[in-house]
Amino acid sequence: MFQQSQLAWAAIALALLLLGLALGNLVLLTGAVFLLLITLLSTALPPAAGVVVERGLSRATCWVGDMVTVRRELTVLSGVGPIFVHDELPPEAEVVEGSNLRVVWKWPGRLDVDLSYQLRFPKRGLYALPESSWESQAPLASNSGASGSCGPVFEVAVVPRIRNVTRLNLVRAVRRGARFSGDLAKTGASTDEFKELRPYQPGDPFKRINWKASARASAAGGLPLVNELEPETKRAVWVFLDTAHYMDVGVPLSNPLESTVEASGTLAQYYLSRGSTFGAYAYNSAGGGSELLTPETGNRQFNRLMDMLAGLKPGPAEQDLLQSVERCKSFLYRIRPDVFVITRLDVHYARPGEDSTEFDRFQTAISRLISLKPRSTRTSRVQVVHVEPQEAATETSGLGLTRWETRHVARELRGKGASVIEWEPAREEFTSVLVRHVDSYQ
Amino acid sequence: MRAAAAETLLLTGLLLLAGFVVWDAGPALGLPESRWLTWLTGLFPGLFSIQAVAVAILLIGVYWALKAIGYGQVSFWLMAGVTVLPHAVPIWGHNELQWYELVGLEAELVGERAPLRDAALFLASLTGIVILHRVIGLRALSERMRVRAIAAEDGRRVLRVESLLVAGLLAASLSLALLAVLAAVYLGRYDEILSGSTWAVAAVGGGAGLLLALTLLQWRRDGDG
Repeated sequence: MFQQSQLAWAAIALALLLLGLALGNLVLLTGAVFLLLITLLSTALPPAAGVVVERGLSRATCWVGDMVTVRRELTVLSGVGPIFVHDELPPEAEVVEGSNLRVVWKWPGRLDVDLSYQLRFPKRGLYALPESSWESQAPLASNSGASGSCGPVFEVAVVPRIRNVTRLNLVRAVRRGARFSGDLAKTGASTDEFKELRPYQPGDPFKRINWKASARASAAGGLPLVNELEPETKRAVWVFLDTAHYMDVGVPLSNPLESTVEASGTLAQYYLSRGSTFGAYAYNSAGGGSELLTPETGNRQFNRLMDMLAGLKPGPAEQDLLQSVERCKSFLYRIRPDVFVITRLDVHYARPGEDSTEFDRFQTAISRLISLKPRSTRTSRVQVVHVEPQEAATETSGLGLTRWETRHVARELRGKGASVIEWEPAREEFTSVLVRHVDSYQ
Repeated sequence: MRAAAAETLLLTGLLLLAGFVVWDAGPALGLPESRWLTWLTGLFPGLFSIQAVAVAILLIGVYWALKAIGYGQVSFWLMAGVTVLPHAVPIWGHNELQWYELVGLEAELVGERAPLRDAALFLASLTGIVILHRVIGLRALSERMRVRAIAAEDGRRVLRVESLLVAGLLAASLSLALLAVLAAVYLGRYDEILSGSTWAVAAVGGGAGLLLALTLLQWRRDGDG
């Protein structure tokens, strides 16, 4: 479809032509010739056509702050003129190199050009990169061009960067304390989890013989079949993550919620690498929901945790720790884990005159978690990690009161038998906190 | 800012050219009936008289005022009309077919004039208007790229190529048009062969008709494609 201006020039040229012919006027006819030449030559160049944008992504999962390359190759088969190529990006994405908005001039002949760029995501989450849209224009704006979109939609999972726990390994190597003796064991007592059926071997307890299966079995060399149970795998750890709105305060990229995510990942990396069973429960997520990670072992469990952490968003504080413990009690009673509760203690503080039900329920939840421990264990297996919000530059006296409230709540919880770790992410990494905490058990 | 200055400068040149055309046609007037022309040329006693400059400034002010309130198209075509209309006076004198004498209209408004000179002045005005139109278009393209946050280097490259295309287009069109005029003037020496018409008019008119046909054919082909 030709632009209005081109039609206007053509109309003027036609008027000059008709007037010139009617009057036999050479000057008018010259003007008509000039304008007709302008119109004809400017519309003789068609806009770019046969546009294809091929896209690729260097990786679909990355750490926070890592660079991701979006490969974008433009191919245009014919036409002349500018071509705009645009990739809509989520607002959190930062373009580090290149540009997601490019314009390229196309001359006659085939055009192949690389329009790749690099992105960085400073915040964890799941991000969608829509397909590339392109628009071609006729040269000299003589004609309307074409537009379209190409390429698949990409999903990028940005997971929190987990600090290396090498230092923690060194502490463990130097002090071979009783706490880690379970980690070193290769065999041990069995759990109640069924693993497989196998033929009877001398020494197997009679109570393990599966009589029904033995009666059905025809090929076992005449021997009965016994239930093979899963051995006790080192230790079990459970993490409760509080993801309420009050965790998402302060500096966007280093608020308590992000610190909670970092701490969970660090704990998972440490304990899963030692063969421990790891489970987690995030409460007060977006939409009033929660996220449960059933207890498992191995690298796959770590990846599942990363996927869960990447999608965590803060939500209203509609569920408390006691409800969360109730929700997970079947897992907790089965695996009897060490429990980490990551939250802000100052929000649980009951001011005089305020309803103290919330704090009472929090204490009740802690007591129930403590009651999970075997009778022989000397040390507490419930650790409450308080994440200190980063102080804004303008705040001065507010944080002092918060700290006092935190310490009051911490004292109450220690009285119940829990360990309390007060962590200031602005001052130290969680790995250092964990090292210090491990030291204290030696 | 530079684009706005270029636009203003171009418009000033066009208006002053129009003023020159009016002034050029003025001294040859001596017809008491043409009171409107006497009044108009009274505004332009010299080539760059203070009145001419004042009128140019006023018209430029009107142009930018209309653009500011969103009547960009109106302001452009208004200025195009203002710069082209003065050419009507000298051009009228080159009519070969004076059938309007039958209804009592005047044959000439000015005296004998060289067609080449008037054609050159007319083409200069038309060229200036086309350039002004493209400068406005390039400014809009530049603004569009700026709003969309297109990389600066990419934007500059596109504007450079578009400017070169405009220059090439104008050069080609002007060259061919002037060639047609020269050929017509040469053929004009043999205008006794066909009474009532000239080879020049027939040749140039025929050429323009052919161009029109080609343009319509091009449009039809693009419309089908």
